[in-house]
Amino acid sequence: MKNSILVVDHLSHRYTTQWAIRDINFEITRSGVLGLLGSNGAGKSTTMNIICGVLSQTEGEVYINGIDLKKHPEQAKMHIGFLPQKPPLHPDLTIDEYLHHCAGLRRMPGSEIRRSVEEAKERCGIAHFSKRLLRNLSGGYQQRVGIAQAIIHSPALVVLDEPTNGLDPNQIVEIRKLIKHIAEDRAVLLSTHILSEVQATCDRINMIEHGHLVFSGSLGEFDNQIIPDTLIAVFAGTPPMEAVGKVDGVRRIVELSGNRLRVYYNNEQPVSHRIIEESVRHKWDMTEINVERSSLDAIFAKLSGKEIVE
Amino acid sequence: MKQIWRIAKTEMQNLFFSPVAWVVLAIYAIQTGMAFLEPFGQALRHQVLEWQLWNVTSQLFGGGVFASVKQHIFIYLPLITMGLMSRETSSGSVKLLYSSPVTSGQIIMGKFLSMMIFALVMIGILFIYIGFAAVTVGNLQLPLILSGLLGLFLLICTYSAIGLLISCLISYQIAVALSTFAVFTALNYVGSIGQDIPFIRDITYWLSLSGRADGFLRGLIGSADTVYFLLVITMTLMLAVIKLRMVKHSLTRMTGWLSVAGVMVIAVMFGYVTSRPVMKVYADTTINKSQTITPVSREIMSKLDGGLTITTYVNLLDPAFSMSFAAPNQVMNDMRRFEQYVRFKPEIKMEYVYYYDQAVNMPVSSVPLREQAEKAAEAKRLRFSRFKTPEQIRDIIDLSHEGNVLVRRITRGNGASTSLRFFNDIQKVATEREISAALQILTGDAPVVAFFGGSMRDIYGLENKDINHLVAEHWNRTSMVNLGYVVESWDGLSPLPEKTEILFIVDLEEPLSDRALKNVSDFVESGGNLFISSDLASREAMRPVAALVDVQLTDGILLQSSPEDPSLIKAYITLPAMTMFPQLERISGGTVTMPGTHALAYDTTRFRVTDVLMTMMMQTGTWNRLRPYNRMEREVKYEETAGDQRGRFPVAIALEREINGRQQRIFVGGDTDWLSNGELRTSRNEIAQQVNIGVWSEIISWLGYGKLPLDVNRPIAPDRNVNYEYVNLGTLKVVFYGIIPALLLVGGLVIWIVRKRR
Repeated sequence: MKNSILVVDHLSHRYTTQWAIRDINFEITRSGVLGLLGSNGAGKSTTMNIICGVLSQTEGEVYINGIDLKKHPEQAKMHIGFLPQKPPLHPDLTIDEYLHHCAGLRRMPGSEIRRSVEEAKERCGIAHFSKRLLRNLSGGYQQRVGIAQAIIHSPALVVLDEPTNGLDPNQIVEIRKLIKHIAEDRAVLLSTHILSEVQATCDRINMIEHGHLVFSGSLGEFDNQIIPDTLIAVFAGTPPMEAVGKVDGVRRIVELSGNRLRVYYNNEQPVSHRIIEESVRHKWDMTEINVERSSLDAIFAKLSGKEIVE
Repeated sequence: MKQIWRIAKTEMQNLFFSPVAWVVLAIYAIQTGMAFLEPFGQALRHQVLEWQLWNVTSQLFGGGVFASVKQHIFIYLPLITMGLMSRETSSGSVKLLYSSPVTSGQIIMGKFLSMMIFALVMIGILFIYIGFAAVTVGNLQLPLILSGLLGLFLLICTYSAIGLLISCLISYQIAVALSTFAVFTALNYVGSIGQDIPFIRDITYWLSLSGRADGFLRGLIGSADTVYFLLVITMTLMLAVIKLRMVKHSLTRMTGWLSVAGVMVIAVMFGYVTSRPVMKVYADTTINKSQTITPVSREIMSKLDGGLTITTYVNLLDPAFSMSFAAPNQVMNDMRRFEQYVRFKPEIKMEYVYYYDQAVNMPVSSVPLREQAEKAAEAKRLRFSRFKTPEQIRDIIDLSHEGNVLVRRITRGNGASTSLRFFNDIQKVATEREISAALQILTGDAPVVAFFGGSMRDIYGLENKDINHLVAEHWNRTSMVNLGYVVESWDGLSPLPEKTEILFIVDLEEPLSDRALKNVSDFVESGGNLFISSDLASREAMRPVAALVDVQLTDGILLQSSPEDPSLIKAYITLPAMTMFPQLERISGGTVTMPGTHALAYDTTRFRVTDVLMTMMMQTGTWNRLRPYNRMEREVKYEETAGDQRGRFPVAIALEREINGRQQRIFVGGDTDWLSNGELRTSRNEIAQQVNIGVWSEIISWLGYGKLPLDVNRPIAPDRNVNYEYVNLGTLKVVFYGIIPALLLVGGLVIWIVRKRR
């Protein structure tokens, strides 16, 4: 724990009566991006707000660089950079004015502020906009400024709450690139509800659902979890449900509209091949067959041990 | 501290990079400009008319600009304070603060510091007027101005702190502004709520913000008011910090509300303790100490050891005073009239007793008393049951000699008591002179005067011939009883009242008995001071008394040629009298009207004699007519052949001699009507300035060696002239209403537009 950048220990938080998160434990020990994945309302923002000291937890501890956040909030917060869902900007300030303010708030020595502002701008690609008012920037650039303020004091931990939310596809790509770049020499905790974002940016993944941590592991381990186990077969006429059900490896069949079947199979077996062979042999008149990618909901359901409801 | 400053700096940037602050400042500049030029222009007008100016500093600032700022500031401030926290909350930028190494206290202090700076900017604008006044007003009272500025600064800071708290509570800016405005308005007017209920009265008075700056504006810095402002600021900021910590969940609901309760309880306790009279300290910044009772009064106070209770008896049915000055909802105002006395004697207790009874000044009515009282209570929305019945009040105190009108009884711990009254003039309430005079009576140092007279001139009588108005009338501010004399009657035979300083012998019907004359003679020879007032009818009876001081009451009647009443002598004040009584110089052009008087003659062997009043030297002159005079005579003329003697005649004289190591002072007058109720009530159109009362006042003051009336006059403040041409007032208007606000507005717009384009 001593060398950990972040330790989240039995963290729970309760708004009025409802537990928003319950007994969450994880640790960040090295640089790279840790994705905090979860659907809307799962407890991602609550967790991040607590880690950044915006919210004080009901139970459990958070240590930043070994410093207890609750006991020594000011020392601990010197090692955190936080970009909330909505960038915390002062729209009537210029980028330079704003970043100077942020650097000061993070207790940077006055002599270093100018240099670090330049560096942060450079890293986030906003150096040529120094004198622009934040109000006049596009969403993507506002997000870059938001990231710049989070890294301006070179914190050990940068926390980004849904950083690509509301951006257009080009902007998303650029911000992801920026995040990867930042994570080269520090730990980044990033929350998202988009699976592809995790796959595109994260090295490690924590998944939260209904306030509980349901998965924690590397991207590879996570990918293992999302190996497909369903396929959709489309037929020209009425699907031969009974026959398909008898194919070796098929667990269950659900009939969908438009002469379609969803076929659940045991994923260790190459079921699609067998269904195609049987179709040819028995002239089922199958026109299309697709392996279904697991939906995030399905993964959540799976990881939290629940069946998905059709 | 660095963090606080950084937050304040960004707040100032947010404020001044948007046009709102500039527009507010421009409107503020116009408003203060008007509030300055109004009294400034008036001072210039008065100077053009050659009227004497006085207290120019106070009129321009304390009563002018500062009063206007005090009154209107709560309208602007919500526009400035509304964004302090709510802007951060609604935009989400508050998370930047929360996730940075700053404490909630630093956040609130930073925001508050920015408002303190804004308050200084507002104060700074006032320096335009102060600077201008420093150049144009002679002897400007700078300390007085600084006191006012301190009061305004504290007031603005207090409003700001409250605005900041509301900004923490609500995240929607317009809602914050409206709520803040509503709270400020409530705080401005709360002082008038529940004033008739003692407990509520204390609370609402305490909540009333703007009134707390009044003392500062008048030049009186009070510790209680200063502490009050600081306390409200501290309490409000602490509540704001608690609110932030509750938002962050670092305080649970339970601990949060407990903290709120704790802060409020401590604030109320501290506020209560520091507002106790004994804890209060004051600094009077006026050059002539006009906000502090004079040394004379302070010396009287120093002699009043032990408890002191001022009980005000308020009659529901008294139509003149009671309900205007001491109605239950007026109590706080009324108590303030004694604040400067309580300052020097914190143990003064003020009590109010409410009752109803027949008052001497009530219109005649056939409706039973109780019914009248019930109706009066209903009309004034007062609970009838709080008023004592006539029987109940009479059990406590007999107020019939005060006519059952509003009166205060001041009682010392040792039981001595005296009345302090309200007066039938414009001002109505007792000023320092009357209050201190009443208190002096309680010290036992008040001069005792004895009146010896027959039924001719009753000091308590209300008829025209009586002299009640000047001597014992309760509702006349200048009557001897209200000036602080202990007035006693004397029958001539019993021993004189103890410590009698002046003996008045007025218009005797019959000559004194030998024994009485001997008593008077003994008094004179012992060096006692004497007031002898004769008249045509009482001349014979008065002669033996006058003879005791070598004065002869001349035969005959003085007449002046006049189409109306030749026997109405218009006497004037002599030059030697003005030397002797310097105060008479002010009224030297006036006339003393004496209806029917005889002349005086005197011997100067034993006494130095000064003619005080003499008959006028007119073309036709004044003459002494020895023949009988009939008021109905058609044409009254000087007739030398008939024995009339023309000349200037003394009608009032002052005598002095050294005796028994002291200076004895005696006054003799040839008429008494000039002091009568009737003459003082008569308006004589042909007389430009009737100065009977002025001369009387000087004479009795002289007889008492100037001890009374109490000299509570202060030196006149020297800020009495303005060096500016009235014709150039228009230029000032252009500058103050136009150029300065326009500069602020343009400055703001330029900053805004230039930045907006970036």
